[in-house]
Amino acid sequence: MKVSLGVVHCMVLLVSLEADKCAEREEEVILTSSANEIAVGTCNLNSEDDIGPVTWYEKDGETPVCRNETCRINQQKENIWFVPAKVGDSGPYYCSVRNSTSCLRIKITARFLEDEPDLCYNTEVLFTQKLPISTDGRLVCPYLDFFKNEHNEYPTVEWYKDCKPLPLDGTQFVGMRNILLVKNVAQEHGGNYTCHASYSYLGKVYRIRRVIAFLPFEENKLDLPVIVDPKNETVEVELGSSIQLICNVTGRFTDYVSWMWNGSYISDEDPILVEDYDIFEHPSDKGKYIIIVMLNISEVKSLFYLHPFTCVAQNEYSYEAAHIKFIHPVPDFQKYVIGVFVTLTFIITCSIFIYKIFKVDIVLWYRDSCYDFLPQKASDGKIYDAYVLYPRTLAEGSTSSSDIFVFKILPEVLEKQFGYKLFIYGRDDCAGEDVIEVMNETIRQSRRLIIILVRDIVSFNWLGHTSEEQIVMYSALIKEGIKVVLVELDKIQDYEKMPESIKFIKQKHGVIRWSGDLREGPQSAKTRFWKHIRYQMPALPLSPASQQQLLAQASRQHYTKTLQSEAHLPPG
Amino acid sequence: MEICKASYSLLFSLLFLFHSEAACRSLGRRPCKMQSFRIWDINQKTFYLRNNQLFAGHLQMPNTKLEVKLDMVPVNAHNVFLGIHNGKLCLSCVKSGDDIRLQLEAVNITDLSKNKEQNKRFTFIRLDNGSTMSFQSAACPGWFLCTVEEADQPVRLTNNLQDSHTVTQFYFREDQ
Repeated sequence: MKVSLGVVHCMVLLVSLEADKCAEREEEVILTSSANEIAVGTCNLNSEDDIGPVTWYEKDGETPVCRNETCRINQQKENIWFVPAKVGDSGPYYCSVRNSTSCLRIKITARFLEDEPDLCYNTEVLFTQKLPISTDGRLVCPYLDFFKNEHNEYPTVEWYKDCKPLPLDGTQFVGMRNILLVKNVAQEHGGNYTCHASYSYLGKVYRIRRVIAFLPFEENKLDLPVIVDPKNETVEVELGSSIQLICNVTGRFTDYVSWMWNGSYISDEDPILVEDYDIFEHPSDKGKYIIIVMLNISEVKSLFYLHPFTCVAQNEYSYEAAHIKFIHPVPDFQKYVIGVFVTLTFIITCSIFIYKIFKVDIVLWYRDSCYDFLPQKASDGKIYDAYVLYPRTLAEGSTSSSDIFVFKILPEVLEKQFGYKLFIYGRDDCAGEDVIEVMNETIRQSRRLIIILVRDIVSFNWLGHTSEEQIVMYSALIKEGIKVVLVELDKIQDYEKMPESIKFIKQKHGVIRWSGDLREGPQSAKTRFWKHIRYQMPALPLSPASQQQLLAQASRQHYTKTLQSEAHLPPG
Repeated sequence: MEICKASYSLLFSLLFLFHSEAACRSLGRRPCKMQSFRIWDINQKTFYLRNNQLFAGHLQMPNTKLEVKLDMVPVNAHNVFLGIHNGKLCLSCVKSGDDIRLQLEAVNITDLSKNKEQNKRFTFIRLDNGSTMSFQSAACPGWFLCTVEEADQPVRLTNNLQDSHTVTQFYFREDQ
């Protein structure tokens, strides 16, 4: 007896232990159904909870539900049946699953409601179903699966709209199994639909009803994204340049806006094509957004001219696209003309500048190289190329710098090297000749008049010992129009004391200043001084004879020694 | 060692801070655009959660508050990430052997990056069928998000579009 008591004790402990182990869960979905109809409750197990057979318990949580199908509330397979349900049946029911190791108990709340007055249903049992307007769609009579026959067929379903029978004419409404097909849904189709089915249970027919609140809705097709910019355009783009393309879309927050090229989206890893985004609320259109997607192209490749860049904007309802095509820029004629003009101006300015600087060299080079090709001018009947007018030294026996220049250097370069013929008074005149007459005659027979100027103001009177000499000179200048070459042997700062004629000539033709050393050896004809002198002199070809003389002179070793004796030649 | 751990945790918290402020990673510099949608299949079943599993069924008036909205982040014009509960749980396709399952993972939808291969299981290809849509898993080609004809069954993936007992067409409407 003690043993059996102990066994009972142990069993009670085991049961209580098992009961303790059972996990509890409350189902949030409340089963709501019309009273006085068959109602079926399911245990609502998750996939992983399906561990063993289901047992239903009454409201007290302890009494197992009757398994006899004749009981008004009974368990069939894994479900609880109310045949029919009464308002008083409302309340919690419990289903539990257990195996040897675990246990789960789920609390399920059921509510059974009478119809509301003047309605064929209670609004608490409504199922909401929605369909977009202008489409074909389905309304479904829910939870009829329990009432399928042995052929797995649904019972016949009748439909009511707002408690009135709905004619299933096949044009707007088609009944099919547990489904009501609604064709071309319109706003006026909205309402409370009731589906009725009958189920025979143990020879007695029971009614089953479900109520559906049908809400047709307008699809937001009007909210299609609009690509404001670009508008399928072409742009002139320089190869290798950088450019930013902007796609401006007005639409909803979730519209997808992106650039595409050659059928592909822009990769985040692309080193050349980089997208940037901006989104902000539309200033005037409430609820809409302005979506800006920028495509920064750091270097335009030749490939980019082959396919356009396309901006796509899309949402669930639509796909919009607009492209920008790259073309090579057409040459700009205006720019071209301006460019040519600027270049020409630059070249001309440079040429003038260069000519100003190298005028003498250019003219001399031209004379040297092209003289033979120019037509020979008729003889002007003149004998001398230049008449050399210089300050005659008053003191006997002394040699002035002008004497060295006039008697030694000038003939040596101009006559010997370049073949000019000079008239130097005191060298080329015959003794006893009248100075004025000689001057008058030879100046007329000369092409140029070279006037040598020295700093010593006392020497200026050589420009005319007598008024006759001056008259001769002026007449030569004015009547003959002879060209005058002024040569400064020393730098003369003050021309104020010079005769007016000299001032005038200096102002008109300038002056060539001697820059070399008078006592130096052979004169180089390549100095600026001589180039300027030659430039002022008439064009005269460089004769081969003079070149030979030039070489011979250059070879002379004791030039300076002979210079002194030659310089002592009397000036006249 | 403790100091080291502390500095690491600081670094992580800083990274987290940075990420929480940054845009959706899936979109690069694109502004984060997570949007909620109401989803229901063409048999009028809506989604709800039961013990952290996604179910589809008919919800009555007192139960409509349980309806789960689908959060969507576009990856590009066709691909999306799908999540629920404000993007804190994401839908993914998981293969284990021959079995292909739809899974809910506790990942923040805005932390997903489209360039990461391991995030591909979260990517769904959005297919527009006019007024309805279907979602094909990018990681499991040919497998579509579906419900079954019977109510109160888990939402799953199917590769059999001809099966009359599965539904792959969904109404998808912006939650307003």
